[in-house]
Amino acid sequence: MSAESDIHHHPRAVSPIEARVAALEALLTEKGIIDPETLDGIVEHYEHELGPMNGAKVVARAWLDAGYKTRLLENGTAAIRELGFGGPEGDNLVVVANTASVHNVIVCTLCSCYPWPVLGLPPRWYKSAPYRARMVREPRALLREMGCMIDDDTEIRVWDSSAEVRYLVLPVRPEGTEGHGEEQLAGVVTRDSMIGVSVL
Amino acid sequence: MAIALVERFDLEWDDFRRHLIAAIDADPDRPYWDSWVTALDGFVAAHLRETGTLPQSEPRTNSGSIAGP
Repeated sequence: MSAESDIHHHPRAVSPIEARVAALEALLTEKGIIDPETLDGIVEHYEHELGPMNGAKVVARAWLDAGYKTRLLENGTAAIRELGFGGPEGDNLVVVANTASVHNVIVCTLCSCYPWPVLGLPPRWYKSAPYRARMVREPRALLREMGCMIDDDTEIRVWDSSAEVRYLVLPVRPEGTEGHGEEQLAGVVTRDSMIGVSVL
Repeated sequence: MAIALVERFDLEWDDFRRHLIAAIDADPDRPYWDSWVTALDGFVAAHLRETGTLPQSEPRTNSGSIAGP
């Protein structure tokens, strides 16, 4: 029997965690607490409408509009709402700007707090125990291991996200982007630069 | 599901987050998503017991789960 027909006729075994989630979903649906359509809507929203492309637009706008940048640094939540972004885990958003002498990086030491409205869902490494523990203890070394070289004379500020506050890094606008329009600028902004584990 | 439940129960995300932190802390080496599901289990069970939807006397597993081990 070919591998392809194996896939069609012998579905892979469900893992224990998948079984637990399915049981929980079935139980809650049976009790009328959640419904599949609501779940589908939420999944759709988090797959297609949330993501770092939102944060990239915020960054590009801040690079081009000094007034917007000022508002963004004063009140991140209000400023991202100007561009239509907001919602869970974005209620208290603080934007921290990188400069020639300061490099910012975000972490959640206790769990995985992350600014969903502008960055989507966090990557696996952001949630890992080594990242959560080491970024507050040895940020420069960890950043170096992740491919982000920060000069010894550049201050590194580590921001620990919590229930109260989520953070977003405003990267330094890279050289060679003079004359770029907003959309083009947004295209050079990466998710990792907005977490602070890389520079553009 | 966690998001749907927080909204459905009219709670704050932090109410779920506290369960997540406790689950991670209870077993830091456990894979993240296993801790997440454990937290979700505990969160649901705690809320349903509080609202009387689940009787207090319902048998518990070690984690207070209502959906299996």
